Amino acid sequence: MPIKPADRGLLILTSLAGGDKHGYALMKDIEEFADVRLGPGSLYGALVRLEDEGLIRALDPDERRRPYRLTAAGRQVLKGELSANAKLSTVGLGRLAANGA
Amino acid sequence: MKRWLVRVALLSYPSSWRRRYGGELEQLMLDCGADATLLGSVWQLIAASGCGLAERLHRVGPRSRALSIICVCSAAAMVIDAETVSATDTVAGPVSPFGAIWLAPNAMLPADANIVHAPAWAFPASSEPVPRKTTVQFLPGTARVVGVSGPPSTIVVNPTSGRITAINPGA
Repeated sequence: MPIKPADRGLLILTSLAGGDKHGYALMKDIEEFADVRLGPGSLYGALVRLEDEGLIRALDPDERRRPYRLTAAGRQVLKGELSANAKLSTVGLGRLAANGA
Repeated sequence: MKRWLVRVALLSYPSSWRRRYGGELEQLMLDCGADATLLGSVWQLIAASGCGLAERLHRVGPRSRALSIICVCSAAAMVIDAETVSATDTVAGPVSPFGAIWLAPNAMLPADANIVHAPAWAFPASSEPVPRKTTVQFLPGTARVVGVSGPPSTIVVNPTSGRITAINPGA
């Protein structure tokens, strides 16, 4: 199933919740915890949108690699999204268990 | 992956975007290319170009975006239409300098057609339906035949004018 743009944002925010990262580190971290491989073009498409929305901000580049950091607003949005997903998971898994899945 | 190749791929992005993010994305693609296969690297370049075009499209207003999509679809329709010959087109279609003729299925004879007999050879020699369009190259002074979709037919070509003068059912 293809990764939707909204999902990419969530993956990036989740990765940055663990600390500042540049693009390559983000890709590797996301691949490790979510088993999803984002291409460079897709990753930067999502990074630009998140920066425009104020959810992340760019730090000073280290050579040609620029790390990104989660902002307070980004932290808030991530918490909200993950809480909603957690609730959904609990309800869904509970119903599956109740109906003998 | 070569740096110049990456830079060419990134030309698909708007220049303002490249000024701000181009260096980082270039470095990221080089980092990724270091541990990718040749096919993977090529795919990354193509995908990055596609993302660049998507970024350009994203930046135009919704009306311009819709207009661009309509233009692309119209161009595609025109190309398909150019490849498709109407069933009511007359027999004498476009003739290339080398004498190739494209035929429409169920093509109609021109009003002033003359029946010319004894073609040099018939194609195809089976009862299977032939491809929708078939081209034939003919030499001056030689009449050749060509098949159209549906049952095999004998098409007779005037060797001087290059115009098709008869279509007779049967091989």
